[in-house]
Amino acid sequence: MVDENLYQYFKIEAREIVSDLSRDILGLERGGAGAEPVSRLLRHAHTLKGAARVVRLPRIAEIAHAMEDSLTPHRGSLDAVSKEEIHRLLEQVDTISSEISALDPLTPAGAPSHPTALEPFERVRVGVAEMDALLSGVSETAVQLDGIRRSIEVVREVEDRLASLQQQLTDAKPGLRLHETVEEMRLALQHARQGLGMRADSTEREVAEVRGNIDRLRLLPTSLLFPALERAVRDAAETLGKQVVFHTSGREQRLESHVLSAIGEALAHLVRNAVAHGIESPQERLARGKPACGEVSLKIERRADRILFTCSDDGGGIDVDAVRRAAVERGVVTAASAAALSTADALELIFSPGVTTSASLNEVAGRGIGLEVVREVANRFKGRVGVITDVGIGTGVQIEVPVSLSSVRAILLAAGDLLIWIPLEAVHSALRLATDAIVSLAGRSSLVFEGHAIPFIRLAETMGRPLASGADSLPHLAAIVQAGSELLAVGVDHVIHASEVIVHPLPAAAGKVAMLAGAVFDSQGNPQLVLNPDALLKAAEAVSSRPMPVAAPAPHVLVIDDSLTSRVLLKSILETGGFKVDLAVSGEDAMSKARERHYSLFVCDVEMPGMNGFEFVSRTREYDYLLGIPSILVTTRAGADDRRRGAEAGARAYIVKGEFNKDSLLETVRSLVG
Amino acid sequence: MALKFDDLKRAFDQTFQQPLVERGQELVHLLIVRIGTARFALKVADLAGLARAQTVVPIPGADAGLLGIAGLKGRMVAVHSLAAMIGCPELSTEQNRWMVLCRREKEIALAFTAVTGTMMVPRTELSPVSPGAPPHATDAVGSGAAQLWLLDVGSIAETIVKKTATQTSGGAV
Repeated sequence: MVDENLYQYFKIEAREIVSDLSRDILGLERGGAGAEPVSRLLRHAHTLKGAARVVRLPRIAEIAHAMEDSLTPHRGSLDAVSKEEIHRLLEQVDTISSEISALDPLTPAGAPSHPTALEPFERVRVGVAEMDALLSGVSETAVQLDGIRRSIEVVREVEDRLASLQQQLTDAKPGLRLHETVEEMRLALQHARQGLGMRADSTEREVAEVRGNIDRLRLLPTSLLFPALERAVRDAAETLGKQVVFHTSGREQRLESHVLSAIGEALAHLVRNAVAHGIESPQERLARGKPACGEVSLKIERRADRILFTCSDDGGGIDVDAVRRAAVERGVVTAASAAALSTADALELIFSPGVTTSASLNEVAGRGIGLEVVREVANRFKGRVGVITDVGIGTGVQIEVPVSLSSVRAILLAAGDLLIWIPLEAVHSALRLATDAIVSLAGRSSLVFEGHAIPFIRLAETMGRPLASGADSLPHLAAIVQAGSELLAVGVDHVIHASEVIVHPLPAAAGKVAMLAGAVFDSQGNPQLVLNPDALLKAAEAVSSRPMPVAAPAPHVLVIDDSLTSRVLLKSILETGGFKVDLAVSGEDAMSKARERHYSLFVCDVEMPGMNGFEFVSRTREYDYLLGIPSILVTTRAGADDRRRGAEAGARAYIVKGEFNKDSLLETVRSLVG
Repeated sequence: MALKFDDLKRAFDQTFQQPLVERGQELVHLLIVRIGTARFALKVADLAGLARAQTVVPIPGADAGLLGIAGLKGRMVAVHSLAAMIGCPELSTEQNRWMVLCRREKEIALAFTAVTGTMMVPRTELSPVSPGAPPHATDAVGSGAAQLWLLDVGSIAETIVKKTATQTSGGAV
């Protein structure tokens, strides 16, 4: 049973394609012979065929396939398409249109259908320009609100003057009726000001929400693509007798709907190509020592102001010489030029019209249209497309497109007078900085983190802003920023909050700023910058690109126990093992100490007055700055239920006081803090 | 004569509501702006809007001429110093309180100290620039001590576009 949603999206897409087909066939009839109109028609038919297969509409797929058969001989030919052929193509379009209309249960059987027939106004499709106009209007409201706030301030000033006048009258002529009048005026003004202020606050919140909603209307989750792509992989594999599993990652990314729609079309071609041309038959795979079941993966990543789609397979790879031959046969390059091309340049030829290494045409691929569509989509959005292949190992095709608008979960950092967002996915952790946390290694500031020295930068300084309180003062926090396998400690003063934000590109006239991924609008309509973590790392890589192992200072352990004897005993054992130890008498005391200093480990009793050990460990899981710190529960409670509760709370080890000895405790501690 | 800025802004905005033919071919509508103590004229026809330069967020590592970015009617704009663009950064001794949006490149705003008024000038009264005129000055308006340079906002925008097209700023480290 096909998901009704898939039909909904298919109907929208199919009607658009049918409209395009009709327009281009009529254009062809008017004398538009040549490679370009025919190529365009082939792309439309090919896309429709793929989409119809995904939603299991074989009749539409067959007609589209037949249209491809009719058009293929005319690709690259300057000969006009005959009137009979034009007539047949239009009939095929009408048949497809009828099939699409028949998907709607309200359409009577046999009812006439035509590409130009009006579809019911069930949905409103709004252009990006109209959305921008709406956004502009809303933003203007925010500006007007600012004016209202200034007027409120004027009212406040009048109130103050009235109060002053009232005082002067009282001093000059006590008991005058005028005093009451002035007081009434002052109170009326106060009432008006408070009412205006409340409504301005409320309107500002509403405007900010409307603004966010408008932005979000333009964005759709990339996960919407996955069901159709998975279906395309499955159906292609079934048709060709192959076994393929499809993996996806990056579903949390959100993209503008028109970009997502076009990219979806390109990705459908890519995954079908991966199955058709990449993945070998089960027999071939087994003979090559591979599992019978092949893998096709789609990875979606954000790279600053661009989105990268990588479709890879573990198939047989691309025969570059076969690509050269196919390109020569299609007349894309001469034999001499093809021979002179580097492997990378020769691979690029697979994106040329009609170039295919497939020996035969099948229902899934083989016309050399799919990759042409991929390149066309990348070009349309000023993106890039690339391919890497390894014979016998597999192939990866990447489409990278700039995003004009995207949504990302980010945290707002304060550094000096700077407020700046950083994508949450790039933040490995955050820790409080002790006064001696920053050390100088090879002339540059570094922070010891998990036993390695990683570069340390002050965010305000890096962004060219004045420091909060003197050049020598240390920021309170370090955000450990991760990009790939690299880590960097970024000194900031505060973490304000985390939120889902809509990232806009910087204006082109601001130049390309490597360190920034874009900017978001705050509730007043003013921009706030968004960091590009990759470029931050590059800035710090001037001296050293990899963390250097160093002799780390002794790990600092916090022992939490309400028993003095236990505290002293544990402290003594841990200090003999070379650890620095602080003591806390309760869970509450420990939370307070953990806010003041970074610890490497908590060693915690279970039964304590107030917050018990289970609760304490659970609480440490709730705060980002404590999340990375392991806990050991040391208790007299030896029951299985208690051990389970400890594990559920997040404790990394559970030691029963009656069973532990010094060596086993130290061994456990060392295993957790390195 | 002191001008109220809100009245001035309203009058300025109203000029966009008039059909082009009504503005006539003989009269040139000018916005007179001040940078420090120096006054310049801009053709209203070259502008897409006038706004207060309230919150301009600096861009790390940017050229001195790029003051930062600002939000204007839901659009992010790059705010450049008009003084810097005409090669007179020393003129900009006061805060840039106003900015105009370029009609040709709507992502570019030019900031300056103040708006002093608008004027309609017969095209015949514009005279060619003389040596010593700043970059992007196309004509002289008036004469003697009251003479102003008429700046070509489109040309300034074009220069900015060309300059930033190849510019990559990594930010200070």
